[in-house]
Amino acid sequence: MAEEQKLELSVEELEALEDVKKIQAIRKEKHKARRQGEAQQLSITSLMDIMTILLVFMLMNYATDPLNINPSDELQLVPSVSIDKVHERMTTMAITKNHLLVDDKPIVQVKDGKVPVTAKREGEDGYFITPLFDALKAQADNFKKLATYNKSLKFKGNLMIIGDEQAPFRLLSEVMYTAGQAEFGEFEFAVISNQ
Amino acid sequence: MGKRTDRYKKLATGKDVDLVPFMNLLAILVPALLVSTEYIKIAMIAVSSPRIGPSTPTTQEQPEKPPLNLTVAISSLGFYIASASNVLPGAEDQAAQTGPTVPKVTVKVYKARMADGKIKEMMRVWDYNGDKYLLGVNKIEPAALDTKINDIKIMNPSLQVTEELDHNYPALKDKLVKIKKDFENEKQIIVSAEPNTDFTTIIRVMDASRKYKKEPTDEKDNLMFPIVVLSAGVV
Repeated sequence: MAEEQKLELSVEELEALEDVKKIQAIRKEKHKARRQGEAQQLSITSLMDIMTILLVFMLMNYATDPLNINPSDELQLVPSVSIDKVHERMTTMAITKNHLLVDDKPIVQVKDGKVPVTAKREGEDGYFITPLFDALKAQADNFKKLATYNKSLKFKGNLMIIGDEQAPFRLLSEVMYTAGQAEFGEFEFAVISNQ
Repeated sequence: MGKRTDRYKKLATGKDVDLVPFMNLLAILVPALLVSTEYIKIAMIAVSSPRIGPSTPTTQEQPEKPPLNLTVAISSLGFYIASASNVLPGAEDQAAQTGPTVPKVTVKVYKARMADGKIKEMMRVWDYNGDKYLLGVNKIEPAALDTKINDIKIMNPSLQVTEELDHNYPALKDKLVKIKKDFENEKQIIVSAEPNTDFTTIIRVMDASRKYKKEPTDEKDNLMFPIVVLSAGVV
């Protein structure tokens, strides 16, 4: 009966049957490919492990670093043989090519390694930079206030100075003098450790 | 119908949790953290400034030797080494000459053109007493220096050698080591400089005075003058 029916099929019907077979073959291949794709997806797990460990490791690194310095064209750090690590949080200030910064906030403009005369209390030859003194004094007072509540903190008058490689000694002395007036007597120069 | 059951089966077993969105999250977080974390190691150098005001009361006993008050003054001509209270070794024969204790010398500077077209200094070499000293005042062997130059040349063929006048840090270190041998207990050095001296020079002077090898065979460095006082006084 079936054979009879098959024999009775016209040319068009035969062609249609061929198409169906082709489509079925394509579907089969697609299915196979999907299956293989699933198998590949499984191997992501090991990559996931690596990624997760990396993520945790980097998050820990990120959290424990007490000092965050982003060198730029304005602030090029000097390499040094020193290997003393930064242990505690302290007030930081930076001497860049264009600004004096206290805790990343620009305080005074710097031009050609000089602070404008208007910012100095005693005129051009003076060492006292008034806006810098105000900013540092506020930082010192803040720290002392915190120290009264948190016994693990103690104000030791430490100031981290992040100096640009081209910062002139005169500007550095002015900064150190002003900081000295604002109760900062011990300085730490930030450098790149090349060891 | 068959398809449906297949799908339900998958859900029911729960074998394939779709990790792709989580992976996406990680793939974004990891580079973001990589960018924000620094790979330069930051170190610090403790420096104090001479305090204005009453000095801290010290013990009344007279020390055997008065403090050395070793001072290195940085000028545009070179370094002046002086002590307020003692005659430094080698200073007797220098009393007659008026120039700096350690004058500037010519150094070889290796520069190369970077990809962005800027010319950048690759290294700086001092020739002192027949030894080569590379920037950072770390002594390295002449052979190693040659291979280093070759390495840079292969990476960047535009390497050029120029000569520049620069401070003689190896000689300064040599002088300070000699002083340290005579005054073993002394740990403090006073650094002062001309107003336009840049920060790099000051740090390099501190580096030169920080450590030394007691004996040439010593593996570890000993501290030389680690306590630095930066004097604002102008030379």
